[in-house]
Amino acid sequence: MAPLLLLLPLLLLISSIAPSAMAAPAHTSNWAVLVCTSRYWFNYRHMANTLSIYHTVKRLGIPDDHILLMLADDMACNARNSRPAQVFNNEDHKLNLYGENVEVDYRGYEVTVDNFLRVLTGRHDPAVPRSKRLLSDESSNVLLYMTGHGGDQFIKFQDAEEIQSHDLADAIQQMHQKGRYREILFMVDTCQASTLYSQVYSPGVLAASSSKKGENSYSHHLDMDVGVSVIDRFTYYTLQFLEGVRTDSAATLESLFRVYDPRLLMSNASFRDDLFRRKLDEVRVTEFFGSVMDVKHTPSGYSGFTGDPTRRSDRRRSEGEAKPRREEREATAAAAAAASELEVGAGDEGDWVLGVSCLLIGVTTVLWHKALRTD
Amino acid sequence: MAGSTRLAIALSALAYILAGLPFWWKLTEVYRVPLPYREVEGFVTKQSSSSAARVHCQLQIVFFSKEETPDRDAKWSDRLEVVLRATREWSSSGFCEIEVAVTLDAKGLCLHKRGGDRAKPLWECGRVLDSLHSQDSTSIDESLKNYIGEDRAGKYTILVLLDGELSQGGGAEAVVGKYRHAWVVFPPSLLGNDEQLTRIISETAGVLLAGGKPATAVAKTMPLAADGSAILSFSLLNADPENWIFNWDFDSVESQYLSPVVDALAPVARLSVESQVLYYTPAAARSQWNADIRSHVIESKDLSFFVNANEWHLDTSAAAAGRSKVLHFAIYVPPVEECPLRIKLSSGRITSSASIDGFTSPGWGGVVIWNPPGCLVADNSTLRQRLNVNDLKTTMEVVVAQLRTLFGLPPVPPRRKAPKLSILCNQRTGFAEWELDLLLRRRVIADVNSTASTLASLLKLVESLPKMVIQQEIGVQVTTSLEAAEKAMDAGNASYQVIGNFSATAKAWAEEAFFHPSIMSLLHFPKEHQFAMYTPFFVPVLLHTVISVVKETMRYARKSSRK
Repeated sequence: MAPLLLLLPLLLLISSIAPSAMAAPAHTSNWAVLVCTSRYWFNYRHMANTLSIYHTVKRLGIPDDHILLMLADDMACNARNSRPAQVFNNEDHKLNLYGENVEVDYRGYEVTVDNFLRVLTGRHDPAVPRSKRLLSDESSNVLLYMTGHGGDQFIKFQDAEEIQSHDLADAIQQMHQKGRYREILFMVDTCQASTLYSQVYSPGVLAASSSKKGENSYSHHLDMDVGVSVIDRFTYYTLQFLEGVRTDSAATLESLFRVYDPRLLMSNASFRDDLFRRKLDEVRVTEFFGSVMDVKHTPSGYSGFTGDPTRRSDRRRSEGEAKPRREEREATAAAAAAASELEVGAGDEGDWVLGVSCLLIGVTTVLWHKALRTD
Repeated sequence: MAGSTRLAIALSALAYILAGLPFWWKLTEVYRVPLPYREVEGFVTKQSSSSAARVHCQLQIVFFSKEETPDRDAKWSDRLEVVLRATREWSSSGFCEIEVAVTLDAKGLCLHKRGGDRAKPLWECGRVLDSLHSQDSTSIDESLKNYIGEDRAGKYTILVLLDGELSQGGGAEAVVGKYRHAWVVFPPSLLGNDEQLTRIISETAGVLLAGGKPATAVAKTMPLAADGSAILSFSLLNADPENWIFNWDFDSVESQYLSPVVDALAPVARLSVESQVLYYTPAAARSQWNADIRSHVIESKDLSFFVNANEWHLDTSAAAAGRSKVLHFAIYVPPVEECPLRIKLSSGRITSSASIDGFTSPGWGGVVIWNPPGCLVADNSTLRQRLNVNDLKTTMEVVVAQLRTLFGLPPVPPRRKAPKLSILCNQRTGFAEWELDLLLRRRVIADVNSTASTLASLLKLVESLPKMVIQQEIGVQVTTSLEAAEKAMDAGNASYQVIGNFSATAKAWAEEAFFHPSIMSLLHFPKEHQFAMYTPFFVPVLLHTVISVVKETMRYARKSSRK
């Protein structure tokens, strides 16, 4: 241990000399799962929060097919919206969040705890299309942003159900076991937000929240034109910081977390990095909020490749060959099902139980009848 | 007695509740199909302990000379022994359990030395090999293929030619063919130098078995879906179809260039091909005009942002089911204002018309920039052209190179200088047969590892949620996967095709079981919730019943003690 400790200052010295020469990111793709868990007009600010983060990650390079946006999506065309088809996050109305190129993957009543957990764990119905799946692998960085109404160890989904911190921690553990992420940045903007990630136990998770247990998170300002609050404080200051970040910025997460001032937020923003392998001043913001495609130049073609010029009209043949393979698999499954000897389900036992309980009720009734008659 | 009736009533009420308890317990049980916990555990420990080479392969090294050799039996015997020992170090790198046999086939001398199975057939000495003089490498390759005869996946041959009829410049030279054999030209003048002999044979064996690189302990993951398939999606992107609009005859391109590749890769991966032509797809990176080479140049640091995900709708495959893997090959035609478009590499070199303007991204696919030859600018009319197989020949060469990169092979087999080693290309399929064997071995190891970890984590999950329903289908899937994985691991000398099928089945079923939609872990009931659920039901009733029993018992006891 001692020689390693001696090396540490040396390493710090070297890293400080060349600040822009940070280690090349080891992740090869970026994904973002942005969830707005509220619906109804008075929760306008939650949708504005989520859409602002959506536009930020898009600007910094994450493509739409790597973003999973879950919104109730009932603000823009709401009857109460004085600016129809427009959603703002600031009373100056400079930026219309709902303008162009917004791809919502789960909207309206599709934003449920069930769907959210399915997105994280990957256990979808086979019919769910690729655009609605989190197709990350073991070298993907995932940004998970949730906003809405929350409480101690839970967050509310669409005013109808809730997800607990234990279930979320289990889902993240499932992701870890199946190699669905390399690192996760989990940001929550709700009341008592830090309790939501308190149960996470998987490695590689960095979590940040807008408030601690027992504290509320507050909205930033009210828009007199729209009539409701349009942005939350935590997200507002996050966006303010991210506005200065470009795709090649060297801004670190450490500097992002230093921006949160408890007096301005009216709550204590906190973060959890005990499960995270790296130090926060070595992690760039763009490693989670942006995306860098890992490219390698192809030095030469496979020279002399001619293919098979005699095969010009043989396309039908390759289509015909595909079918036997599928049939093979189905035959294997059927054979496996037939050959396996598994116990039959609980049906038989249920009948037996029902019969005995009827008998018991009958016996007890007779006994009571007899007992009451003698008195 | 009067008192006993009341006691009987009170007791019967309590007895009824207590008798119902086991029924309540049984009825709130969920249906869980029994899973083979112990077998999976056994499989996982077995797999992690012998995690290195598992697939079998056989290497035969033949020292061939038509004439008599100057050295005698004893010298050759030692030499063969040295060579045998030197090649064993490559066994773990090629992911195969290797058996080496070394033979000397010279006029009047036939010596064998082998490292493994005594029952395996050996090289047949004394067969006539036609003269290889004045033949180029490709025809030598064919002649040797006919001479060696047996061509089975996993069996490799290195022919060391000692005659000197092929050696140029007096040095030793090795060539790896495109089938499963290689030859080393070792001039008789160098025969005393055992170290050089061993080294060149060792390098050749390294290439044949492991692609020339010592692999890391874990096999690299292939860009395939869970069931071992992938969709190659080709898109012709017209950035700005104002001045020129390109279309292509993809049917012919696919049947001539792609179908041999797809067929060759069939044991490794089930590939399917689809194509589309897109218009108005500008790149997201800006280029700079470079007057020296009269081209527009994109910096290498901007290449990461070349793919414009907003405008390039590449992922719109109708055939791609939810869990499929799509590899995109985008052939980008720049707008007339940016023609010709070149890439400036990080080394400062700029690609020219003689080199390749293309790049790959691991797990995603590749992009090739197709500059129309001479940047043909029509007059104000729009040029419409349909690209045929000849126009796309060089592009397809790059595509094959990119496909090889995506699968973990070098885009073009590299040449080596010391010792001198060259590798022949397979003009028809883009992959040499020994490369296909290597990919298959890598895939088999990756599949078996993945199956073990998937099954282990599935069973751990199932155990941690005792109230979750496990359907029968999951039981079938787990059992099938386990059986196939064990068969793949204990395959012995089965053919590569069979082993590949078993491992693919194992992985596919394990993933199906793990990602079964019915396994939802939304079942955490903390103790407080369970308490809050059951107390309103049972506490009021139980309270009164227990109190009445106690009271009646005391009354009965008092009465009977008085009597």
